[in-house]
Amino acid sequence: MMTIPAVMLENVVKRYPLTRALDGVNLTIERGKVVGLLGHNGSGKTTLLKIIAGLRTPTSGQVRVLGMAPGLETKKRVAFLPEVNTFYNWMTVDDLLKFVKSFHPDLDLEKTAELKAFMNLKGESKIGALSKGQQARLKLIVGLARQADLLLLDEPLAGIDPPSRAKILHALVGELRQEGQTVVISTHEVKEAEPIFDHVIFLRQGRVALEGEAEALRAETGHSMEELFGEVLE
Amino acid sequence: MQFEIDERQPIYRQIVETLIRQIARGFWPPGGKLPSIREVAAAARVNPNTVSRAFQELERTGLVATRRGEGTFVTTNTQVIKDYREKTARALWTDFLGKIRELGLTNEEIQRLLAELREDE
Amino acid sequence: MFFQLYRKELNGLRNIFLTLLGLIMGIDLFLVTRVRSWGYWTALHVTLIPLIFLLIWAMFRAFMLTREEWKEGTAPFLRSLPLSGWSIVGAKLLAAFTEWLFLSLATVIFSGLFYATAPLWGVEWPALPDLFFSEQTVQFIVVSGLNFALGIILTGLIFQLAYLLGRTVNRFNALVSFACTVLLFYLTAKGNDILSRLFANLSGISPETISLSPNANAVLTYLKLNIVIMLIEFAFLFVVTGWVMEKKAES
Repeated sequence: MMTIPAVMLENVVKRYPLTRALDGVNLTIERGKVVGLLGHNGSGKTTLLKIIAGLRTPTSGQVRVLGMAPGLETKKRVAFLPEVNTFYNWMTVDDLLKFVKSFHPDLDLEKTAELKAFMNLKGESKIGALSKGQQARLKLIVGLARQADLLLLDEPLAGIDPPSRAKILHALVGELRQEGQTVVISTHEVKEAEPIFDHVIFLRQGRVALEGEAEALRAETGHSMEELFGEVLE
Repeated sequence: MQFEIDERQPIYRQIVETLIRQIARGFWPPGGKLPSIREVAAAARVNPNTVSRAFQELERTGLVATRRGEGTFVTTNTQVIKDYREKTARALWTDFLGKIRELGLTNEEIQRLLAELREDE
Repeated sequence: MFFQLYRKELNGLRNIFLTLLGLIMGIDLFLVTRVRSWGYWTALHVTLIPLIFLLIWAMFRAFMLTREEWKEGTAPFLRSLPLSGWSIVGAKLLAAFTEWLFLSLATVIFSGLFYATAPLWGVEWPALPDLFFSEQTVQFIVVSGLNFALGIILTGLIFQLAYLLGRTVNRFNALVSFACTVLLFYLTAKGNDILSRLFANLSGISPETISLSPNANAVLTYLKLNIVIMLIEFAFLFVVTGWVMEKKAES
């Protein structure tokens, strides 16, 4: 039996009155991979993730997430963590986890306890009182504690202090990741993130400038992903 | 267990090479258990998928074997390790000699230089 | 799941609810100090004034709750949950309605207390007119209450839809929302007119006949009909709003 890819995009275009956010994107993301979605600000990374998450509808083209059109069914199996101010400021960390649990029964409460300890967050803290870095960690907790088949993280490192970044990234793909979970991480901090990617997609002005297995690209070009980022996207 | 990773080269190959060197040196003795994929991934700070690929590659050399549910073990067949060590050493020598010969050194000159270097140590 | 969402909305508006409740109580206490100078009857009537404010306030609340999601940046998270657009829209409408209901109820209760304690202010206990208890009056109060309630929900829905339509574009959101508000109010009024004419043909009651002969029964029938009309309009707009929330709005 052929396994269904986590994400398939066919000629996806997202047009706005004055701009084109995505200009014909073709992509296949295999199940179980850790994928880096790399590009400068405004290259279309967020739009792409939001289309996969079902928050935006493409102007034209086909989108398949876990074999289905984005909708309620895919939202049950996808965790999307946006870049900024994700959650309700007036909730406490535990309120939020309870709230998420009521919509996603797959949220593992034991794991949230473990993650809170790892990320150094207190359950009774008000979300509005958390620092930017703590909010970024909270997003990761919410994403990682679910058995979601597909985890979409938009700039998860923004706001996290550089010394913690590597630690969190490696925990993210290592002990914290659920078995077989597909992870798509958008970032422009390639240096720190690159050893964790199986597959990389370089996005430039709404188009895929280059994509492939990170290892194959290294073998072919003799460049690191960071160097390729500079070369492809300049 | 330490891994120096150069992001310009395929990471799995660097892990394979490091582990082979460590096995050849006896850091992982014959019949001994290798660290798990997760442990190597954590030490090298890379994706477990990459380490998993490195382990598959390593198995193909015959230096290690994976027992289901138990882990990956270094072969007890010391001959295989010895052969592999010699094979790798020979490859390094060939490479090295090629470069030396490009300088136009004769066999006698190479021998003399080697003897001198050994005295210096 | 709808209930969890509804509860979240209620928790979210708790602070403002308490502030308004405090304000209403404050006004009542203020009036207590004014009984002597203004006279008891004036003060008693003023205790009911918050009802008018609450009516207007409630019309904007569902829209305010929706706008907050976008303004605070929580909309992407909310919309990434496996929730239909209709439950998101419905939870906000219901929460706004609950707030209105309880604050109005509180206003009436405080006013009732003011009335009940009349002897304390040295006023003779005012008797309520007999009319107040006639069957027709009770019916009238219930029917107009339902008209107000539906009017609030319908207006709330229109503002919400107009706001969401403004969110289907990536520029000029406010302008689009504004234009949609105007258009939607016009269309709803027009729709109401068309539907009431349609029903008038069926029942023989129309606004024109009421203005000619303002008899209580005709007004009552007209108000009852208006409830049906608003329900129809609500159902139609609700289907559209939920769809826009789920499929068309961008966050």
